[in-house]
Amino acid sequence: MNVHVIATGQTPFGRRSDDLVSLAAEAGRQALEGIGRRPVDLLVVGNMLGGALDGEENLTAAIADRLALERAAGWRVDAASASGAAAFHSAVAAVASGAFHRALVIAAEKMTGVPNDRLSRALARSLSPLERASGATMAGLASLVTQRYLARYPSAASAIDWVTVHARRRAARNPTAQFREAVTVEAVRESRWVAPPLRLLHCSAVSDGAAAVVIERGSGAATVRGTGQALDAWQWTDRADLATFEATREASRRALGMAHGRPRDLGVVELHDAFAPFALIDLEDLGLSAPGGGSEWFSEASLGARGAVVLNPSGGLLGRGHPVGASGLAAIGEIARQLLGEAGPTSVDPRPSLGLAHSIGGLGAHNFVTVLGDGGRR
Amino acid sequence: MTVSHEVPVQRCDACGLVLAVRDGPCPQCGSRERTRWTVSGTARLSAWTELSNPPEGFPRPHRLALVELAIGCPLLAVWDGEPPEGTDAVRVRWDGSVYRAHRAEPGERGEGESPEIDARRSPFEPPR
Repeated sequence: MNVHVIATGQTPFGRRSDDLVSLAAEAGRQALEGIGRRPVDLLVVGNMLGGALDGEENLTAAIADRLALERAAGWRVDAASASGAAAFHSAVAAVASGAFHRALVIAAEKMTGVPNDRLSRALARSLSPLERASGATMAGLASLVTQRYLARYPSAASAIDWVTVHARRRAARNPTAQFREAVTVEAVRESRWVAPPLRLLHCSAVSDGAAAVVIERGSGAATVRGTGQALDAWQWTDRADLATFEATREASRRALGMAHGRPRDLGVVELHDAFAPFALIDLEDLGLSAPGGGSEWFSEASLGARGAVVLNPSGGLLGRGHPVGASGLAAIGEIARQLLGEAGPTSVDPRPSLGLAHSIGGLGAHNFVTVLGDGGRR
Repeated sequence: MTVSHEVPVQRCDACGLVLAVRDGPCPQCGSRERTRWTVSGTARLSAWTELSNPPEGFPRPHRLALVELAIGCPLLAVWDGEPPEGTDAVRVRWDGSVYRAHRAEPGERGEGESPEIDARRSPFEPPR
């Protein structure tokens, strides 16, 4: 695909006093400064909760107004917690089509300052009507997925605690991460219950933040080599397998197929660990592990790196924070910085030439995989 | 509200998939032809959890259960009563808007019929 990432921006994630549009503009401004304020002719915005929490609609116009981009075209994209990845995919398609030359993609979310029960209800709007009527939450359904996974692979239970230890170690090096202090496995195991067997430190945190990238036609170190997305049954119990996410498997097949790549070719991966056990499931769904093998990545001895692949150098959702609509683009931005040699303290050594970003929308109903790599390689 | 131990489910006439009641076409084959059944609420508890932070408007504690009806259909249900530790046999009912599950009492039996249904793939086991 003749489109590449040429600049990125990202706000610090965590509790921020700024409103949604200000966060989006902060990330967008960084990315535009990265290209010397050269003009962009397209603005694509990803966001999940703006309307539900802030009453913030017509977000694209509001952000364009703040960034003086009124001459660009634009639109907003929604795919629940994968909105940032969906925004990127739609911008890539638009630029690859030839309709636009250079696009700014921004994904933002403002979640703090809202009572927990109201936030839970807003997040649950991405679930099916029957799930919502049953009072299901993301954490509640993630708990049930986890139990189905552990029923199949009982020995994986300990590895789930190590996922968070790994995430926090990585996040400690990331100046934009929400959690910059390491945690012990004991602290994970002693944290309070959220939805057993999930404890507080197994769950990504409520967070504010925004990410941005600029893409244009051409190729470079962070060329878009493959994009894949897939939908699954909206209602979780309607799916063919309750211990895995088929939408990730299909999205991965499509993206890696387009990239003519194999999982073992990847040097760096950002996967969607909104809940710690999802890291194990993701590894298997992405083809980086055999079924049941995800736990081998997370023990005291082998923490998050096997072979040449480095997982979640940014700290992932557990360490970096999870402003839901922004996370998918933050993952893509991190992979792009790794490939461009601009990752600073989170840099993977040696510099990778192929990377993958993964994002889950809702409870795995709409998932995205993006493969970036050196445009000169095959 | 009328509460029954009979549980409504639906079966896709084209592929035989049995699911919770739902709008829209079959998620497996896309057919819109389906038959609604009322079946026994006899079920097996597959997983349950208690939400520390239920959505606005739901009481605490709020517990959710994943149950498997005797005919092999998975359902998400609200769990009623004490935590189901050590429970395997459960009863499921439909309260008009959601499925609700509770511990099966000795002698409690279903009122619905369990129709003969072709074997479907189990979402509880790895796909073959």
